[in-house]
Amino acid sequence: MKPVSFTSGNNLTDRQLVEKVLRGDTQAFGAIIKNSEGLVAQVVFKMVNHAEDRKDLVQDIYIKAFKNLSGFRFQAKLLTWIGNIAYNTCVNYLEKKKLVLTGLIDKEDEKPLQAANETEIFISQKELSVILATGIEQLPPLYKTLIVLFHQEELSYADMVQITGLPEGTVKNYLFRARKTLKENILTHYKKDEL
Amino acid sequence: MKPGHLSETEIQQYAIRGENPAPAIAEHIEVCETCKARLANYRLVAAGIEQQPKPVLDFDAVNLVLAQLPKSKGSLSWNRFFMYSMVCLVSASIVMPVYLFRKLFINMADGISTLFLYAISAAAIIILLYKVIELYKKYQKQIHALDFN
Repeated sequence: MKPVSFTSGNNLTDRQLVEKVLRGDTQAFGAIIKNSEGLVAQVVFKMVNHAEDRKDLVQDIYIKAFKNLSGFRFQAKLLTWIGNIAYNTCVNYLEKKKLVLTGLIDKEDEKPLQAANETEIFISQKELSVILATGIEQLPPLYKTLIVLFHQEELSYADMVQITGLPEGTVKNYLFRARKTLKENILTHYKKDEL
Repeated sequence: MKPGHLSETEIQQYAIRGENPAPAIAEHIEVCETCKARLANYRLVAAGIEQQPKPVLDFDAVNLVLAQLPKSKGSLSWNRFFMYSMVCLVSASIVMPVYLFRKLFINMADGISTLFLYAISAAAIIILLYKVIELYKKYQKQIHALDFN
């Protein structure tokens, strides 16, 4: 059996890769890791702050994926299935550490809308990037994760539902609040700069 | 056209991924400078998030994980070949004597009543089944003990 080269791009489908791994070719699992490590990194980095713990969690995620691969029935994409393992592993970690997953950003939501006062923001790309990076980091873990999965990984709502196990309405609601908070952060900075 | 300003939800839906708005919302955006600015702000946020650098693992996940997995079964085809050969050999060692000494077996059964013959066969099958099930359970137990979970 020819092992899969996971360092170079390969055209094997999820099914072919899974079958190779299940037939005993553990090297094929390397290709699965390569294909999914971007998404796993997003989930782990957004949910866990401690760098050393992240390393352990990533290993834990892939070992779990390997052990449970025979139970993968292709009802979801392999990527979202691994994303779900990553998400659940991080949620368990947060629970063990007694850290919050969703937190409260509802206060922002309760503010009365001042739509009439809102003006278009003109801000340098650099400044925007810094404010957004800080704003995203300040969001609770779940909001951060959803924001990057949607806007950076370009996942669909259905994929995010499969990863988090949350209802679609909840996912949309969290995304709405996160975007609103980020926009208000920028507006606050912008108005400060204007004064 | 929608009276008053658009809600945050409506603005977000329009701004993000260009979800098709209701005609009334699109018309409102066209004429309302405030909502146009709010739309532009959400688009700015979305574009800003997309441009944020993506996190990269600062270690080689592939090698780290693969080092912990059981070794690749490269010689699997040989193992299978060996297993199938053994199965054939064992089957042959049972079938061949039965075939070669079939007359002897038939003669042995001559003096025995049919009912007794059926009873012996049934007992043999039951014992064989019992042994196979026991062997299978033992095998499952051993596999379970090896489980990484």
